Amino acid sequence: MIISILKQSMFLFLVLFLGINFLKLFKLKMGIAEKLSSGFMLGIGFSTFGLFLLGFIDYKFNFWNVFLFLAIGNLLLIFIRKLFIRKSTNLSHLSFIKLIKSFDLIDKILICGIAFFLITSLIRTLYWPVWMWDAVQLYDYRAKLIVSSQTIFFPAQSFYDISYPLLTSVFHSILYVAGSSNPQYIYSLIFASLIMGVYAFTRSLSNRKAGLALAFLISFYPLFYGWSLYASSDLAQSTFFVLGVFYLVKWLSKEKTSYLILGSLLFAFARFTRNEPIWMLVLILLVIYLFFQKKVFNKRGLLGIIIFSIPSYLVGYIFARYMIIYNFSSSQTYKSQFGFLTLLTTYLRSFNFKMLLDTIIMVFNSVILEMLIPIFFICVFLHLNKFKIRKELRLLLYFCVSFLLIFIGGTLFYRITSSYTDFLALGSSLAKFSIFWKILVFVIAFLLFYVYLNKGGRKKEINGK
Amino acid sequence: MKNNFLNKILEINKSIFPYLISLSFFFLFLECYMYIGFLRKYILVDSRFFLFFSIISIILLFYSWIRDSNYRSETLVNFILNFNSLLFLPIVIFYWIMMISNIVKYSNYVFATFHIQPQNFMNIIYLSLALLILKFCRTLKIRKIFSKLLIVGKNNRKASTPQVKYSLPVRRRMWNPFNADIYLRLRTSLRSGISLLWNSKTVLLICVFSLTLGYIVVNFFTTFNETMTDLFFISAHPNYTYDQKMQAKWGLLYDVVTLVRDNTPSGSSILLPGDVSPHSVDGRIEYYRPFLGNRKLTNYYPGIDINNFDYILLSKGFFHLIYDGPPQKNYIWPDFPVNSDEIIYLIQQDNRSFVQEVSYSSYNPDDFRENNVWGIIKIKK
Repeated sequence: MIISILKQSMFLFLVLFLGINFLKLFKLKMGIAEKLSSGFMLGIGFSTFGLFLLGFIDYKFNFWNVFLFLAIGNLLLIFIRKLFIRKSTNLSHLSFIKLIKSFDLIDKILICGIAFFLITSLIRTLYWPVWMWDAVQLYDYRAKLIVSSQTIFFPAQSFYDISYPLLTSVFHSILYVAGSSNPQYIYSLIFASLIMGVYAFTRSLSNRKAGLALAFLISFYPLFYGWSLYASSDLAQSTFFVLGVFYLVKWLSKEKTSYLILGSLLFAFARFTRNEPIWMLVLILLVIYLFFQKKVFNKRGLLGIIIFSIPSYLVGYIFARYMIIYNFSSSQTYKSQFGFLTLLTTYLRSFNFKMLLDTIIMVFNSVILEMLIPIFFICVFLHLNKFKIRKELRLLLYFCVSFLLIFIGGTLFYRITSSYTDFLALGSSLAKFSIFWKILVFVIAFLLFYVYLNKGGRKKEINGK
Repeated sequence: MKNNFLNKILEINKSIFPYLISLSFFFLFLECYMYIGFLRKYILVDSRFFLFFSIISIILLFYSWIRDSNYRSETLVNFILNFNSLLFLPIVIFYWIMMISNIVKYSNYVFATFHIQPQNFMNIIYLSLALLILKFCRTLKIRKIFSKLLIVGKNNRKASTPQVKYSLPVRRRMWNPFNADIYLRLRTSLRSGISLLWNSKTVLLICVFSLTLGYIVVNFFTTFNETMTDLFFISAHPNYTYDQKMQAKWGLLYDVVTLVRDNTPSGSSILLPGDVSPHSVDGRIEYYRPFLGNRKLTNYYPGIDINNFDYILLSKGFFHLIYDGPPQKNYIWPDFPVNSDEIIYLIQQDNRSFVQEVSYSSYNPDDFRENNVWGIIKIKK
C-alpha cells in the first residue's frame, strides 16, 4: 500500500515536472499557480501522447518503461534548458512562508474555501471507485487492457473500443502500473489545475483577490465540481481548452510566440482527449481575427496559423493511423480528419428549419439557461463600462461568442446526421461539453466587474481626455 | 427626508436584533424538538417565519455597518455574535453526529431515540452560519469594498442627482407609529426614493447584484449540501467493499451484473438481448464485460441458435427513458420458451426492493411478464 502510494506520487511528480520543465524553456514570467496548472496539464499531455507514440515501436507499457520515459523526458528537458538557456532559475517564488505572509484574512478565507472543495473532491474520488458509465465501459476498461497486454494496441473487441482518443486511458494506465486500484483521483487534480489556471489568468488582468474570488466561485459551481468527481474525459478536455484559449488570448494581445506554442499544444492535447474537430473551428476564428487586424497575410500571421495547426493536425493524423491499424470496419468519418465534412454533405439534403429550431432550443436548455444570470451580468457591465475595455477582455468576448455559435453549429450538425432519439439524449453531453464555455463566461463577467469597480468612476482618465 | 425612513428602520432593527435572534433560536430549537408546524398551531406562523425575518435583520444590520464608518454595536448585539461564534462548531458537530447516527443505525434513529429531528436542525445551522458570516464581515474590511461600489455608483449618476450621505443623523427623534405625519413623510420618501432609483443606474445594479447573489448562494449550497451528504455517507460506511460502492452508484443494473457474475462459471457463453430499445442499457455488452472476465457475451439477433449458449439473460429492459421509452407492463425478454435447468432471478416485491429467487422449471415467458424481473436462465444441454 505505502509502496504503491509512493510509486503513484513519484509518477505524478514526474508528470508535473515534465510540464514545468517544458514551460521553463520559454522563459516566460509565470506565477506558481500558472506553473502548476499549465505544467500539470502539459505534463499529462506529453506523458500520455509520448507513451502512445512509443507504443507504435512496440515499447512495452510497464512500470519500469513508464518510469524510464518520464525520467528521461525530464532529464532531456533540463539538459536542453541548461544547454541553450543560460539563465539561473529564480527560486524566490518558492518561498511559501513569504507567500503565506503576504495573504490578508480575506485571501486566507478564500483559499480555505477553495481548499475545502478541492479536498472534499479528492476524498470523494478516492473513496468511490470508477463508476461513471463511459469510464467503466471504455476509458478505464481500455486502461486495464493496456496494462494487462502491456501495449497501446490492446485486444479491442469492436471499433467502439478505439474510436475515442486515449489520453485518459493512458493516464489511468500510468497509475495502474504504479499499483493504483482507483485512478479516479486524478480528476480532482485536473480540477485543481483548472482552478489554478483560471486564478492565474484572472490575476494577471486584475489582482489577487479578484483571482481568488473567481477561483472560489469555480471551485463550488455544481457543474464543474460535479465533473471533478467522475472519471470522464470532459473535465480534462475543458481544462485543455480553457488554458489553450487563455494562451491564445495572450498571444493575440502580446504577440509573443511562446504563448502561441503553449496554446496550440494544449489544443492538440484536447484533441487527444476527445475526438472533436474543435481546433479547426478555432483556427477559423484565428484567421478571421487576423484578417480583420490585417495580419493574416504577413509573416507573423501566417507563421501563427501554421504553428497552431501543426500539433492538432499531427495528433489527429497519428490517431487516425492508429485506428486504421486495427482494421475494424467503420465509416470514413472517424478514420479521416475531415470525415465530418463528408458526413455533413451526405445528410445535408435532409435539412429543414424544424431542425434549426430544435437545435436552438437544445443549446438554450443545455448551455445558455444555466448561464443566464452571468450573461445578464456581462450585458449590464458592458453597458455601464463606456470606456475602452482591455484587448484581452475583448478577445475573450470574441472567443466566447464564437464558441456559442460553434455549439449551435455542432448541435445542428448532430441533429442533421443523427436520429431524433439520439439528438434528444444529447442534452447532458452538451451541458458537460460546454464546461469550458461556461468558465469563459465567468471569467469575462468577473473581469468586467473588476474593471467597473476600479475604473468606472474615472471615464475621463481612461479616455485620456 | 428620504433617508429618515430607512434610518428609522435601521434604528429599530438595531434595537430588536438581539431579541429577534434569540427568539428565532428558541423557536427553531423548539420545533426541532417537537415538529415543524408546532408553533403554527398556537401563533399562526412556524419557526421558518422567524428565521426569514432574522436573516432580513442580519442583512439590515450589515447594511448599517457598511453605510456608517463610525457605527458602534450595542453590547447585546456583540454578545449574540460572540456567543454564536462559540456555538457554531458544536452545533455543526452535533448535526453531523445525528446524521451519521441515522445513516449507521436506521433512517429515523435520532428522532426515535432522542426526539430530535435532524432535518429541522439544519435551520439552526443556517441561522448560526448567517450570524457567523456577519461577524466575519465585521472583522474583515468588507466595508471598504462595498463603500467603493457605492461610490462608483454615485459617480456614474447624473450631476443633478441628489447626493446620498452615508452617515446617521446626529439627532434622532423617537419614532411614533401613531403620528399621522409619519405616513405623509413615508409617502414622500417613497416617491423621492423611487424617482432617485429610476433616474440612476442603481435599479439596474440592485437587480443584477440581487440576482447574482442569489445565483451564487444557490449554487454554493447545492454543492455544499451534496458534498456534506456524500461525506456523511463516506464517514458512515468507511469499509464498504467495491461491490457495495458500485451497487450504491449503479443500483439495480449492478445487482444484475453481479447476479450474472456470481451464477455463471468462468468461460461460459451468455446470450444478451439485442442492444436496441428497450434494452439499450441492459443489452449493452460493454457494461458487463469489465466485471465478467472471460465469459463470452453475444447480443441476440433473429436466427441465432440459442443452443450454442450456456445462459440467457432474463430481462425486463427499460432502463433508459429516452432510448427505451416508458416501461411496458407485459414485456419480458426472452419472449420465447426456453428449455432450461434453472432460472435465478431478482424479482421486485410490492414495487419496492428486489429479492433473489430460484426456479428449477423450464422457462416460460408468461410466468414472468407481469413482474419486474432480471436474471439468468441456464439452458438445458
